[in-house]
Amino acid sequence: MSKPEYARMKFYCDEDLCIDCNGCVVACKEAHEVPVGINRRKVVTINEGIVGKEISLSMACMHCTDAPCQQVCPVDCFYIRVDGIVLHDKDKCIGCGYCLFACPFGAPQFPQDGAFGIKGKMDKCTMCAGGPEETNSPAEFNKYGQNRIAEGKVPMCASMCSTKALLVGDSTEVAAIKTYRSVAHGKGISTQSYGW
Amino acid sequence: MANTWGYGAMTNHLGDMQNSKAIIIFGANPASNHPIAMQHILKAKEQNGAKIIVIDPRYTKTAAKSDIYCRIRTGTDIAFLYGMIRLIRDNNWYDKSFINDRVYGMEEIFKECEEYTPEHVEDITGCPKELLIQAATAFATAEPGCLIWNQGWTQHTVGSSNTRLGSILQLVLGNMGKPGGGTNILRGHDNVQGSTDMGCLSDTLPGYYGLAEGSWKYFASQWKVDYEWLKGRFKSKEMMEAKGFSLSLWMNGVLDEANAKNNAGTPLKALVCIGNGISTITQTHKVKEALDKLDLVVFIDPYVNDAAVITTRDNNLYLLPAASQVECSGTVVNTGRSAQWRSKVIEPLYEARPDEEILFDFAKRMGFYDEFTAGMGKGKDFTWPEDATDEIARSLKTVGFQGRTAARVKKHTENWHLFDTTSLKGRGPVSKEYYGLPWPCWTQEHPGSPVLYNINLPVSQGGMGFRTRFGTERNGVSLLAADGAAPVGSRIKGGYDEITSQNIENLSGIKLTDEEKKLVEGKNWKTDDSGILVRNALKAGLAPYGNARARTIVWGFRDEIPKHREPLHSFRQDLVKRYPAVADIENHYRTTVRYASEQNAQNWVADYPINIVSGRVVEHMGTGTETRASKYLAELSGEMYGELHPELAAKLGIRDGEMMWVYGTGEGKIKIKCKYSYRVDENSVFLPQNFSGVWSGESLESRYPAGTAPHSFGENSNQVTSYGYDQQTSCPETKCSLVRIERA
Amino acid sequence: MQSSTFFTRNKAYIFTLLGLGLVGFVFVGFMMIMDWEYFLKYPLHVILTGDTSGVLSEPTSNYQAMVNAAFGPSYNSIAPEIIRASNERQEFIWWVFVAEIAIFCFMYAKYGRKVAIVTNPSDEVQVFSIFHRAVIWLNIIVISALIITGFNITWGMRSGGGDIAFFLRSSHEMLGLVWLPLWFAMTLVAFKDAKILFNNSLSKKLILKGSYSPMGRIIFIVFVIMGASLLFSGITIWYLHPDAYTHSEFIQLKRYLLYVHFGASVLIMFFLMDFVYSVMVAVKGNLKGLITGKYPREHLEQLAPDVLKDIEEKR
Repeated sequence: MSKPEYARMKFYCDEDLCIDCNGCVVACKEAHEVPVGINRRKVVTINEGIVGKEISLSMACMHCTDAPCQQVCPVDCFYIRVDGIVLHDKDKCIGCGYCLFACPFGAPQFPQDGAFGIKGKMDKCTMCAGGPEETNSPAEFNKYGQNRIAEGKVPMCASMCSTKALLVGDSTEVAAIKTYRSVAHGKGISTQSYGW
Repeated sequence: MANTWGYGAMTNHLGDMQNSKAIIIFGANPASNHPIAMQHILKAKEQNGAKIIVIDPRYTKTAAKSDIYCRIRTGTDIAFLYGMIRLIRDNNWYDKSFINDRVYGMEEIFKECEEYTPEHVEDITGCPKELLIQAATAFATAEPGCLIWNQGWTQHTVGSSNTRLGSILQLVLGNMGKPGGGTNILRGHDNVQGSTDMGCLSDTLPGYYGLAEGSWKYFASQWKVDYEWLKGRFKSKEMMEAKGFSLSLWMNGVLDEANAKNNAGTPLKALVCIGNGISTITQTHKVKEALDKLDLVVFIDPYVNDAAVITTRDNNLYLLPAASQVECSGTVVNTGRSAQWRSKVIEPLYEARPDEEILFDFAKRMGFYDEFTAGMGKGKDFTWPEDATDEIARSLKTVGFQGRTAARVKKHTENWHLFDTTSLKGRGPVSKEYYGLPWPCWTQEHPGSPVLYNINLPVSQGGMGFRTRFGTERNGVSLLAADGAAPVGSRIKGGYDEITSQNIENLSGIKLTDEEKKLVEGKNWKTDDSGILVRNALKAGLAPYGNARARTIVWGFRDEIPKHREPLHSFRQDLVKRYPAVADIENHYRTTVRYASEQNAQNWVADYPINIVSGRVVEHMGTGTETRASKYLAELSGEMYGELHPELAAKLGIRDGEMMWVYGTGEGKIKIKCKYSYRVDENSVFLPQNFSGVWSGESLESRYPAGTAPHSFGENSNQVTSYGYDQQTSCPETKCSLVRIERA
Repeated sequence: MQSSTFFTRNKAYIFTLLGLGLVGFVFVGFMMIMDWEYFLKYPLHVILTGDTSGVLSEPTSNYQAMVNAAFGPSYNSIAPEIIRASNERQEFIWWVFVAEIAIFCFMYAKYGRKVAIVTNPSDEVQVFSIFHRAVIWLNIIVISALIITGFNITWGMRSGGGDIAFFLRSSHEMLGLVWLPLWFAMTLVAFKDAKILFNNSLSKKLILKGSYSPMGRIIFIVFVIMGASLLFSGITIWYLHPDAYTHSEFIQLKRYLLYVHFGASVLIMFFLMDFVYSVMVAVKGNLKGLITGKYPREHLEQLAPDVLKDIEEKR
């Protein structure tokens, strides 16, 4: 019997297509009812307004294989699923912020809602896969938002991406789409639009 | 547009842009304003190898994705277009057979373009001639190329000339009537095309029928009311058939007593505003004055209309809460003329009521409810909105709504996954139909017409020529299409007039029975309720509206062919003499509008040395009444700002993030945050038009009824946009304005 | 009196500097993965330009510009050290304190306690005023709490997180704020060397009696400097709360400050333990003195003549 091959879930944002519309950001917030000030996802633009050089990219937690956040967390609240999604347990989290220092991508977010602006528990992109609570329970929703992966749905940001710059899924599938797009240049429209 | 080839609408559709080999975008910023449309543009670039050419005063997010970007001065698009046409003419890139067969009056255009040499265009527009040549070459040599425009063209004193010349450019290149070509006007939001089709304008009845007696009589019969009764509702027959005030000019009907003579001797007394951000037009301070002066003001909106807090009146101001889009159902029409059924998601919350209920209530209390609902033909037992949709389908014959019944639209929406996204073609139960039945959809069997004026398809499958709308000949020259330029399968191989009861037998070769003859007597394709004319025309492969040439000359317009005219508040005073504005117009939508006198009133640029580039931000829509009430959108874009080039800001002594006063050529002034940006050039300031709720530095938050204030506020940029209205349509000039900026 | 050479007079300073230098050299040279050049240039850059983003040189590629704009630059210069530090502190820093305690045990075994021979316990001298005692005890309490709540963060593996650990962690920030005035008061009160500069009634009232021994002076200096570093870095980290969009502008500064916080906390704790040993363990009678504020005259005569001299002078 051979071992089952698990998917390796990844995000990919194509800078040739991202138009900085912030649709992913708002979609994410609406879907998970994230408080204002917490941006699980953000769009970054460089060289803004400089002719020929402007590039935008949408970014969130990259769900690293050797996630620095997991390494640095003093209470070990992170866990990585077999499909590579990095999740965390808010019941364990003490809001120390070390993951914020360690993350190369600025993914962890801390609500500042306590007395005197004390940091709350860390919140970050779950790739719409919820948390350790019972799947699709109200407790899970309150802490981590929707669990769309469990429902077989695409994460909200990528499903809302207006130009399909943001891709998510098994890394081989994402790579295949990117390869297809590069190779298909100038050869005419042969696929259905992916956004409808 | 309508005056060039018959219909004023996007000729192709969004998905069709994927078929283009070059896409030229003038005065539009789909990346910010139509992100989903941008998907198709980028897909054309990515997979079809299309060149994206953006012509815009500001380096927009769309321009960031372009292959060629030309920065021009605001209001000089016509010069740029003529420059392109001249290059096309000189290099023989134009489509000779297309022009010969299907266009009238191209010689005039070729004559007019003579003076626009690349050097001269560079002088007028400020765009280096190399870029002009690159853009013209890339666009003219691509087959097919599509043209996109938006409010960056229409909101000018010469807006109508912009759009006409754009259409002419596509005629020159023969890009009309083919997939991947066409003129694609991106409408501002999801149902603008629908509301235009419904005639929400002061100069037409629904379906672009005009205001003449015949049109009223036709609609009296469609609405099943007596024409005399209808006429009795108006002060006089003359007023019934006169254009009304337009959205941009109504306040002059309140403020300026001199305009009363155009309005049956009285200034406007009351305003009922349903779902319109009336502060998005220029000269908001005049709007405020007018709102203060009216006897009665009513706003019907899901959110508090920001004009309701701008006015300082304390009496006779009513806010009626309307249901939002998810609380009611019906059709919406997208920019590509496709309809889609929108279902109700929840019942209206709190005391909000759907628009139709509010209007029915008005009708009841004013005593004409029975007449109001008679058109649906079911007395009191109608089903809303299905019966109304069917009534629309029945009545709007000019734009071919006959096939767009509620049942068919619903069927398409329910089966939307069966449609191809590039061609809109369906499969399975909806095979051979196009998604949303893009009009004209002549009969219940017609599949809809995704690409207008396409003669490579039979009329019954969505093909057609240009519309015979302007007569059949002028000065001895035929206006009908040449032989051979007719839709596939047409019985007549050339041009023909629109179908009437007189010519139907001749043209279609079908003999009508006596009974049929009696039914259609005196009717034409626009007024024939029996559908016999249209049916028989389709049988013979004829488009009901005829097959004519598109025209470049519009007789009766102030500019018969499009002419470059400097903006009223021009940045280049030296060019004003050569390209002056038209003379002042009396009774322009019931108002006297200044053109030449405003332009020459003073040397504007001496006192107001900075040019406005106006536009929208991606987070907000219109005045942002709805979107600024969303906490997430308000977080992303929470305050009004002005983009200044760091060089200009340094000259003015303003640092990034500091506040500045912007003074308009009118009396308006706004206090906004300065944002350094390289998007604009060194003479311009970019002002987003999506904010309201702050008035010349003073917050209006306290004026909102408790609990209704949005999350973000900002100065309304239209307080400082200058006076100016389109010389034909009275569309406000928001794009060419001059301001003075000082550090606050 | 022994011969007073430069070496004997400054023995404590020299040994401390040498010790710190040696340990520092071993750590910096062999045990850390910090980019020290960056670590030194970065604060200068912040001070000179006011730009906290940490972009010290212009990006050479779009990719680099994107990284700078999105995540902050030079991830490898400070962040790995923080990851390592917080990992290893869980495992190894324990042993630093074990070693220090072992040294104290050795010293206690070898030197024992200094005990004054008091024959007349009723002849007492007021050494600490109420204000002095309040400042000292509050400092003791708050510093202890800060140490406990601080270690609660780094030793979270042992607590396993949860609500109690979360509460302790958030009180660390609040306690830090409470400590700010106490640290300041302590700095003023214990500034014994100020008496060299000015000597008036206020300074007499305010400043603790006596003068510093070299070791005492080192501890005071460490307390002041490291306390300031801790407070500044801690409060800045707390209030500098970048959202996702300003993340790249501040993250490097936060990392830098967190590293300073780590370093300062280790140093201040080392010297405070030293101080506690030398005051509480090595000498008998101080606990009672700190509570009542009074010492037997003979105790002072034998063990702290400088204090007595100070008090006598005042009279």
